[in-house]
Amino acid sequence: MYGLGILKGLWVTLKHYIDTYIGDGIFTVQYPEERLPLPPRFRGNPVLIMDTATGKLRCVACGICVRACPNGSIALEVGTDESKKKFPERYDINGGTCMRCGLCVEACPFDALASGPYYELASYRRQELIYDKHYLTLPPDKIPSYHAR
Amino acid sequence: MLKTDTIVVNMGPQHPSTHGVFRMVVTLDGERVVNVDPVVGYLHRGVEKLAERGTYLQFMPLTDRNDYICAMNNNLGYAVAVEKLAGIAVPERAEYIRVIMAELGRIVNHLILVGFLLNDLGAFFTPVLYCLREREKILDLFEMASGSRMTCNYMRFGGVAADLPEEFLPRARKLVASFPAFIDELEALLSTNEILVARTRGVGVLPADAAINGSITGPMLRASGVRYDIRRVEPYSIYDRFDFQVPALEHGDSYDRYMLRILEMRQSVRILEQALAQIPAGEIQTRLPKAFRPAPGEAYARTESPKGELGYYVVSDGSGNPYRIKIRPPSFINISILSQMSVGWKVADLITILGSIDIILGEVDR
Repeated sequence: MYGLGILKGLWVTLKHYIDTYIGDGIFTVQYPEERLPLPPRFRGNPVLIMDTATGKLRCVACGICVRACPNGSIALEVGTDESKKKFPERYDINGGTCMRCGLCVEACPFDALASGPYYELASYRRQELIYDKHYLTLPPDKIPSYHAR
Repeated sequence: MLKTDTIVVNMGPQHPSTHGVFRMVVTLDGERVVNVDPVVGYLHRGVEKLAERGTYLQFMPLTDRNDYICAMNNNLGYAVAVEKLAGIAVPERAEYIRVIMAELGRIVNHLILVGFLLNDLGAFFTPVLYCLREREKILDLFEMASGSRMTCNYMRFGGVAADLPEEFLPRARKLVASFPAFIDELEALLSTNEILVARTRGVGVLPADAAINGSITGPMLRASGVRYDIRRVEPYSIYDRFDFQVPALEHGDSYDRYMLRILEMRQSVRILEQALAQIPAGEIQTRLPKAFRPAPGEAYARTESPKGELGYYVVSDGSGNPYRIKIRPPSFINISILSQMSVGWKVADLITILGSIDIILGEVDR
């Protein structure tokens, strides 16, 4: 019979309409008022891990992450402290070219990098997309992906 | 006698029904299509050249961006090619994880196709919303395993990037168990719908010989009646272990191309059920040397991506960077038959035919 398929289709949509009031109900998350927790392995731009005990970065400025980055988004300047140990004098990540692939985190042999929890990264100026060392430094308990590995 | 003239209309590159930045220069005689000139290249990013600049692994995140609907399948195609080039074995568990991800990716792709084909037909956003809801559940699984919904970057040479998280398998099993009911519902909504049938049955027929001549692969070829699936004729990964059928239909019209995607989703669910039941414990990655340098040589590996034959041709000159990578994207080859299929149909049917081909401009232009 002509029109039967349309009635059948309307019945499916009607069922879904009723389903929003019974059962699971409405599951829309009212972003930005409500937020879902980040998935544990969420891949944001990399952040530098700070050891909570010493307050120092784990990074020894070896430059492996710089070479691992497909887009060349990491700018590193090596400095040496009074005990002749190397540390990152400057560690900038260009958030505009970083594609959050996570290859730098995988390459890091010192466990000094982790995928960061940052999202909502829109900005008015391109310079604001260059994240410096202070912005990137986080203790492990602020980085969900650090514990998920 | 009224003298009529043909008119040239530009459809795209910013036309919502062209699924991206695709331009068709359509010559019309009234409503009828006389000629279609596809113009591609608006999304060209020079991915193949970018591959030569970096190491083998550094190209992996770029494969995500070729066919961005199903990144997992692209990852798999590239990983299989490099493994063939360098002769790397993949642990058992990693192979199972790869199959699970690839089949989930296939379901995602077909859901998107069915949903947006209906959008193009004018069933505005009701079917596509149901499809996207199911897709979102699968993308949650991808995000859980790889950390990213769409640009997964999950496969590695000789395995996968990370083991599945604990809650992945139970959730995947639950999703797969509930999926046939969803397909039934989608079919109740669509498959016998008079409008859909009237708009697609007999429209844009692609005969089997024309499909073979045009080297069309994937669901388009199978909808024309050629039972050809690379998972079956040249099994890669561990596809030879699973019991599944290769569906084929006979008419080669837009309705069959729609229907074939539904049938393929059902087969993907079958593969997933088996893979999720059989997945063993164990290693997920073969250890590779820190500086990965395959011996000079070349390899071409083809995989059955949701859109057709996805081939990666990798040439090594013995250094750490690939000498050349050539991608054979299924969409680019499949789109070449568009003008042949759509001549003689009306403008509205042209949109149906384009929607049923299943193109992704990231892959067409690379």
